[in-house]
Amino acid sequence: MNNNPENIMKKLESYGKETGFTVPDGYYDDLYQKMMGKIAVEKQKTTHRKQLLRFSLVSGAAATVALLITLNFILNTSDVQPLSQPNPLMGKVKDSLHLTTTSTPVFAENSSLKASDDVVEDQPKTTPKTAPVKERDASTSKKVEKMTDETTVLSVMEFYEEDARSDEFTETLMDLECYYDF
Amino acid sequence: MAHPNDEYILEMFATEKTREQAFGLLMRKYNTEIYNSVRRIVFSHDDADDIVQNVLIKIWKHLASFRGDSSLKTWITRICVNESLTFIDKKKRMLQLDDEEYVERVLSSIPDDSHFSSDQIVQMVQTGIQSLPEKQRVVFTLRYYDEMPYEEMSKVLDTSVGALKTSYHFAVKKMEEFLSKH
Repeated sequence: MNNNPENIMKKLESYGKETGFTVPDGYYDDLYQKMMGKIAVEKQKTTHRKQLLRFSLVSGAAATVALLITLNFILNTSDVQPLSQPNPLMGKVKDSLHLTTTSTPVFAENSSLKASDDVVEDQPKTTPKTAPVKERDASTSKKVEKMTDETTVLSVMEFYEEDARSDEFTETLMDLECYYDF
Repeated sequence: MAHPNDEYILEMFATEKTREQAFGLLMRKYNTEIYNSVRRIVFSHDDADDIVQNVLIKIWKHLASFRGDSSLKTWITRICVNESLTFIDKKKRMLQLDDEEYVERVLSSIPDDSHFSSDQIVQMVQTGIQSLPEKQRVVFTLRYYDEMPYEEMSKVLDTSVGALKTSYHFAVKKMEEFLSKH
């Protein structure tokens, strides 16, 4: 059969497997030299690329670290700033806490809760709590007045200690209706 | 001159110091085969010269990642085929030619090619081969000139053995028609 590939191949082979291609003289030697030159260039390119990649990686890592440090610094600074500024509300709360705890323990328990609420809540809510503070101030001032009187009497007594031993002084005190039995 | 075996070349190439020397040995061993397999596809010596240089650069760049799934020769042939077909596509686009116009251009250059045999029979066979569609031309040349088994060709062209046999059958039929006409 003429259409059989084997028969066609035999016919083709009768022409020979000669391709007929030729190359210029010294082509393969020239190609070898040319390619070695190109490879040297490629090698340099690869080395340059590797160096560039390494530099990019290192600088990228450094930039990331610097960015993280900066962000950390900024975040920390913004956290600390409100604490560094004195909060007037906190001062009031501290004062109220100090007064209540030193005077009446029962009131202090209640006021400490209220005082902590004051930190969160709006300022007007703190107004009712000022009333007990005023009461405390009044009682404190009375105490101070009483103590001042006693101190004056004592200092006078010290001053007149020697004279008080005399009859004259005793008489004077009796006159003043302020007699102390020494 | 006896060429070193592929394992020896690959071992040398794996070492940085002997890489260039190994590539030199590879070039000496496969230069002619690379040139012929490319030229059978593109026909023109100048085109083949450009493609061979591209192929060798690719081999230099990628030989380190050669896994050894196929033989080195099969791997190199695959690069040759791919580079040749890519080159033809690019040239067709550049010259704005369709498949038929491109084939006509190649066929018209055959009689005057200074790097081709003046033997009429050889010229006729080569004209027939260049008239084949690109894929069939590749299958035909690999089978006819290189006597490559279909299994190996399947690895080179990433095509099933059945499809390759069919392709070769059509190529042979076209060659028969061409030769019977001339």
